[in-house]
Amino acid sequence: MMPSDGDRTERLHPVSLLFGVGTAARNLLFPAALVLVSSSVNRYDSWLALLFVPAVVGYLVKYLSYRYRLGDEEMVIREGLLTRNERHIPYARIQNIDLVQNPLHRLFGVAVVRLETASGGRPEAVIRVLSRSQIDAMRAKVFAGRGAAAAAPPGEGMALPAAEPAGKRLLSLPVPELVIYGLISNRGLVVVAAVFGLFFQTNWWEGNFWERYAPRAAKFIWDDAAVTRVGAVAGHGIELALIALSLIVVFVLLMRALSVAWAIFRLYGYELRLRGDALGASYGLLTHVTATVPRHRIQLLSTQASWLHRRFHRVSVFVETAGGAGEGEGGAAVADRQWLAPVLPERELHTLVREVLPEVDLDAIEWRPLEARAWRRVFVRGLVAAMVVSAILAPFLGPWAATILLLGVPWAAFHARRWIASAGWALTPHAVLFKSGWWGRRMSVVRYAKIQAMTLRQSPFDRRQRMAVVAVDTAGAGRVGHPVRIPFLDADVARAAAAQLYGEAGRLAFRWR
Amino acid sequence: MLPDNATNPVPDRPAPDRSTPDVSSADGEFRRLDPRTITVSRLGGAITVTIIAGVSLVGLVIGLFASGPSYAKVLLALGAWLVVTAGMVVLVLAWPPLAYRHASYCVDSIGIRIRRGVVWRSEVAVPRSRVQHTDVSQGPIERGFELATLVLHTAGTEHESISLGGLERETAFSIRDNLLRSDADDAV
Repeated sequence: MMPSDGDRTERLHPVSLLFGVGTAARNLLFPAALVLVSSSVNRYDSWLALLFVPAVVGYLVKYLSYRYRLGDEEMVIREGLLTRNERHIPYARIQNIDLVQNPLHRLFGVAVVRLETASGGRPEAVIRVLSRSQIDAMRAKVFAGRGAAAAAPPGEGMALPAAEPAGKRLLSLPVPELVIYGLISNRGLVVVAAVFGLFFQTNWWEGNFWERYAPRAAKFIWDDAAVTRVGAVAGHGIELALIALSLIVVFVLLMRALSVAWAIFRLYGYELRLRGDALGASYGLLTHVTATVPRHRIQLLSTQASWLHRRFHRVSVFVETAGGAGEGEGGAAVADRQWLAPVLPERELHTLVREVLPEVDLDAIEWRPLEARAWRRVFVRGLVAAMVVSAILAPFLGPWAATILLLGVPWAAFHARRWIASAGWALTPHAVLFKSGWWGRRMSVVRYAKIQAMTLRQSPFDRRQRMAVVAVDTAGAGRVGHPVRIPFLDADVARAAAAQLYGEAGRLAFRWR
Repeated sequence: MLPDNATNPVPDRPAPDRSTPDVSSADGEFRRLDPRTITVSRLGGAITVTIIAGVSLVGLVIGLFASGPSYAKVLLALGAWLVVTAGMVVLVLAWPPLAYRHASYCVDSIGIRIRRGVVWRSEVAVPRSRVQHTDVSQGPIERGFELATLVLHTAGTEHESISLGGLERETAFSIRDNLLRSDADDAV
C-alpha cells in the first residue's frame, strides 16, 4: 500500500500503562491484601506480591511494542516483543467500533476501543486505551467512503459524552423509563451474582473466612432463642406460611429494587441515534458505552414482550449483528450491544422498526397462522411433561402427585390452544417474520438479503401429520434466542415457503456492508 | 421451486450411471450420491464396531477374572456382549443403504439443495451467493473408492459448514466449480 499523508504510526495513550498496572494490582494485590488481613499472616502470602512484577512487565512490553497504523484501506496493528504479531484489518470488514469508558477513563479523556469484524466470536481487536483525537481519526478513516456515515465531520462522529451528538434521535430513555425497565426485567439477580462473584474472587473462602465467621454468624442468626421461637410458631401452620410468604415478598421487592438500581446505573442517559446509516447507542452512568452498528449489518431484529412488559405496554427490541456472538475480553458490553431499545412503548415499535429496517413495515404485515390442528401436538408435549414431573415427585408427594397431573392436563390444553393461536409467520416482499408465545411474546424479523441458508425439516411426527418446519439461518444467530424457525406448518405450505425463501435469498446478494 | 416430494426420498428411477453427471449445467435435477458410498460407510462402521466390541470384550474378560468367574456370570456377560455386538453389526449393514436412499442433492440456478435423514428428514438450501468457500476432502477409505466429501462454508451459525459426503471425486470438483462460479455482485 502506498503511504499517504495520514499514514503515520500511532501508539497507545500513555495512561494505558497506568490502567494496565491498575488491572494487575486489582487482580493480584487486592486478594493478597485480603488474605493478609483476614487470616493468620503467613509469610508465604507476602510473596504473592511478587506475582505482580511479571504482570506489570507484561503491560509495559505491550505498551512499548503496540503500534497501529491507519492506512488508506486497512488498519495495521503490530504488537509483541519476542513473538511479533502483525494484524491487517481492512476498513471494509470492520462491523462496529465500540467504545467503553469507565469513570477513570473519562477522567483521562480516553476510551477502550473495540473493533468488530464478521469473524464471529471475539472482537477483532481490543485497543486499550486511546485518546479522543486518536479515536476520532480512526473513525474518520474507517467510516470514510461509507456514504452518509462519513458525512458527519470527524469529531462529531464520536458520541463520547463531551462530543456533540449528531444525527436523528430515535429513542432516549429518561429515568422513569429506566425504572420501568428495572421493574420489568428481573436484573436483581445480576447484582446479587456480581456481589457473590466479587466475594469469591477476593479469595475470602480460601483464607479461613468461612471457618472463622460462618459458625459465629450462624449462631448469631440461629441462636437458641430463635430456635425456640420458630419451634413455637411451627405449631401454627398458617403463621409459618405467612412468615414464609412475607419473606418471599420482601425478597421479590428487594430484587426489583436492585434491578431498578442496576438499570439506572447501566443505562443512564440511553440514547439511540441514526447518523446516516449508522445506529449509535450510548448509555451508562459510571461506565459509559458507545456502540455503533451500521443498519445494513443487522442480521436479525427481535422483539420481546413478557407478561410484565405488557402490563406497562412496553416492548424490548434487540438486534443481532454478525460481529459478537462470543465473549469479548472487553467485558459485559458485548452482550449489551445488541440492545436497540431496552424498553420501548408498544405504540412506538412500528416507528422504530421502520427507521431501523426501512424495508419492513410492521403495519402492513398479514400474519399467517400455524396449522390449527397442531395444538394437539403442543398439548401432548405438555401432557408428557406433566406426567414426567408427577412421576418424579410421586415418591415425595405420594397421592398428591396425581394433583399435578390433574391440574397439568387442563393447563397443557389451555397452553397449547393459546400458543398455536398466538404464533404466526409472514413473508413480506423483503423479509420473513415469525412470532410466538402468548405469556411472553416474541417476534423476529430477518431480511431475505441476510439469510444464509434455509432448512425444511420433518420429524417422524411431522410426517405422520403432514407437517414440516421451516428454519432460516443467519450470521451471528443465537444470542437473542428467537431464531426464525417456524414449526407446525402444513407440509405443502412449508415447501412453498421454503422455495420462496430460497428464491428470494438467491436473488439478493449478501453483503456485510 | 421445490417439487412435491421435497422431503421424501428420490422417486425410484434408475441409479445414475457411473459416468460423471453433468452438474455444471445446474439443471435442477435431484441426484443420488455415488452408490459406492454405501460400502464406504459400511467399512467405516465396521472399523468402529470392531474397536468398540474389542475394547468391551477385553474389559469384560478383565472384569470377570477380577471378580472371580462363575459359569452363570460368564454366560450372561458373553451373551450380553454378543447381543449388543450383533445389534451393532446389523445396524452397520442395514443403515447405509437406508441413508443412501434418502440422501440426494440438486444444483440449480440459485444454488444447491441437499436432502437427507432417514427418520428426521431435512432439506438444506444454500444460494450460490452465500457460499463463502468450499473444501473437497477425502478420508482414507474414501480415497480407496475415489469418493470425496464436499464441504460448503457459509456465514451462517447453525449451518456454518454443510458437508455432502459420498460424491465421486470428479463430481465433487465440478459441483464446487459450479457453486464458486460467481458474478461480481456477490462479493462479501
